Amino acid sequence: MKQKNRLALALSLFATLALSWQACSPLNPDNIVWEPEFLGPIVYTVLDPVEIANAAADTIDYDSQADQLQIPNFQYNQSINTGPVGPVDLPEEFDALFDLFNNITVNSGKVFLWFENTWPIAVGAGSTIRATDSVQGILFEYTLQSDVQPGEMFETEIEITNKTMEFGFTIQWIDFQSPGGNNVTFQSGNDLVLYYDFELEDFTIAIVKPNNEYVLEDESTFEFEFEGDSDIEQDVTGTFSFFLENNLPSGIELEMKLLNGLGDTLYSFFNGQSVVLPTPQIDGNGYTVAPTEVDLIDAVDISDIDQLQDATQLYTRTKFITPASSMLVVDNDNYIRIQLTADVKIKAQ
Amino acid sequence: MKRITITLSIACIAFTAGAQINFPALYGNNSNLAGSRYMPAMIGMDRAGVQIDLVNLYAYAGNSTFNRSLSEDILNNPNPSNQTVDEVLAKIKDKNEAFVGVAAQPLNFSFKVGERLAFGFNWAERFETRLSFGGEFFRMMWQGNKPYAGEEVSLGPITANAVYMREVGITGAFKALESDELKLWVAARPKMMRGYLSLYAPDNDIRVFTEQNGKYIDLTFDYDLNTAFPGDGEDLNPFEAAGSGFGFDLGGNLQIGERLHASLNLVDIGGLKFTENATNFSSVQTIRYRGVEIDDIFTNAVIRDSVLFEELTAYTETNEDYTHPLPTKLVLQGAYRIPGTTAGGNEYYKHSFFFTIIQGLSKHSTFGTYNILSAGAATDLGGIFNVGGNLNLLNFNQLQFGAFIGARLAFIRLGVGTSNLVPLILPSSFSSDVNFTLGLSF
Repeated sequence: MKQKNRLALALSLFATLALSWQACSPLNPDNIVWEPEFLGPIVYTVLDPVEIANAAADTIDYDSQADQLQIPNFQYNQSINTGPVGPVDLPEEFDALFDLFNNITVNSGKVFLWFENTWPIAVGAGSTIRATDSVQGILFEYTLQSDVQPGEMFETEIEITNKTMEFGFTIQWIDFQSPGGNNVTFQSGNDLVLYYDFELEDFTIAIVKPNNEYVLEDESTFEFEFEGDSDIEQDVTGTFSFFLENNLPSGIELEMKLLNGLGDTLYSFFNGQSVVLPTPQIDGNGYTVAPTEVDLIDAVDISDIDQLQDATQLYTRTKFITPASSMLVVDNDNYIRIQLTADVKIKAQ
Repeated sequence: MKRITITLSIACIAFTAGAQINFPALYGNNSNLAGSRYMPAMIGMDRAGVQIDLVNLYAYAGNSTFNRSLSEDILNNPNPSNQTVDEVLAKIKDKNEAFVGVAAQPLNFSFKVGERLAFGFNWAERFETRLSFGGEFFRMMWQGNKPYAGEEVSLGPITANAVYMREVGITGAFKALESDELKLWVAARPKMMRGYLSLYAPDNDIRVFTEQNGKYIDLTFDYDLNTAFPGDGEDLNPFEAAGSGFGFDLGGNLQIGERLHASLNLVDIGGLKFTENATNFSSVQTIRYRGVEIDDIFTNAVIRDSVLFEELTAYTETNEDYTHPLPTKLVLQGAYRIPGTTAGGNEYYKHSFFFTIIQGLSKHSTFGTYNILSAGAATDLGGIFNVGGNLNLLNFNQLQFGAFIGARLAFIRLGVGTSNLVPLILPSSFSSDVNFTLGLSF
């Protein structure tokens, strides 16, 4: 802090000496119109495979049917007394966690598991949740350490490290157990839904499915505001340009809109169409050689987006069109880059 | 005969960019002690055995860009317009410099020991600044960066040099040669300095390159900023030095016959080393600005502007000692002086003609490598009043004209001097200086 103060003092001395000249000036700003022209990038975003994978990995649920518990004399909507249940393996269920990748070698990631026990009997300690990939490799396995009583929530977080995951996944309860209960009634259609969500943190390499189409559609909420505040009367004219780079082994069709809080479209970029980013050249090992670039110079007139300050959400629809290649690989060097550049003239008085 | 003289030099305005030279002190009959700052052997050449300057104040301010004409245009224009700004910007050079400085000597005296030796003592408080700034920075601020797309633009130089020091020197002058035709005084002045404030950014630049279509802007930083302040940096203590140094002034004055004089001097050799609370900030890097990053665009878009700010403000900070150079100067002077004798029998110079060359030798000092060619003349009325003037050419392109008047009334010396009166006559001058001296001589 002390050093910062010294720097501030030094810079203040600079500023004082420099501005002393200006301080003597009687210039009346009312008679001077400042009209600088600025050209340069404003914002950009880089979509890397981790972000794409996480955007693609929606929360997935696994429905456990009560009538699969093998409780003697089980019937929906009838009160029964049941002794201890299980262990029993409930049927596995298939889920395509991602549809863009064939497999991915994970350095680190997390699985979030949670459920609410909607059954009238406890989910017993020792019950195990197991997820396997398409080649029966165990992605994760979790055994409950204590009973989860009826109406209780359960949640846990499981670390995944150094694992190659083949897609898709199967998940099931194995060794499901319950202490049972007296005078319990399973309501018709009463399922216990197990949710799980995978969050990729770091990966080494991912193999992309060839000759495939995959669409990501998202509405993100801004955590910032476009609104400015200035006492200077100013007028801004000019255009925005888009510079896009595609360094994924896939063709991209990108559509972007600005939405208000109600989800209404305020402005559609690219004239409401999808901008097409061609597939980069792929080498023999499935890697991209160099990104493809699309320059949309003066694509947006600044006067067309006066409603920009009302926008609170960005809608993106990203369609991946993978080529028919024997091998398509992505690693941490692959990305999609979207940049917005301004070419504006500010008139301030 | 011993005489006591008090010298009073009244401040005048001199408009000479960067010329921190007190020419009245160099050319006046009654200002040997003050002039000895530039020509140390002068302490032995006055007829007085003892000289004491009780107050000797010299202050200057100037710049290389805004001359009186332009300044008046701005100040007197009740309705400045864009054209006014354009005209001002057109006048700003690629490299502009501003100078401010004060040299105050609370005590300065000399005395002769016999005919061949003289000694002097001087105490000077010196505050000197020199700022350099580029013109493109202001033009880019006014026009924006688009007109510069596709070319790299230097916003520099951005240099700063400010130092406040206390100097204590002891001068020894010796008449090394005396014959009918030749008299040679040589002198050396070792001096100790204490530094109380230093800002030293000798050679800095910021370059901007805007890609033709605005895809990116490259910002290249190349700066080295050193600071030292008294005290611990938070509680400033003006009585605690942050550095110290050692310097030399060397010179020799040769008299050939009765009328020809020559002087060769090298002054302000050395520097101050700042060791207390010294801080060094530096950055040599190119940052490619490609916009502010928006992260998590698929989920909750967040602006990562702090990353950009961190990149732009990244610098290396150390606490290494550094040396602030003195404004070393070479002073060469030739003079033709016609001697006379007062009614009281005292020798003096009735008429004097001078030609002086001053060359700065330390690029990053407060004088830099400026040069001044100066012609001066003085005449004396009965050994009492001394008037004169100087005509200077600064860096071969700026003309200066100064004048002075002095009086030697018994033991009192009075003088008014200026290095440049041009701003009072012509609007094309840039700077000002002030000189005040009060002294006694025996």
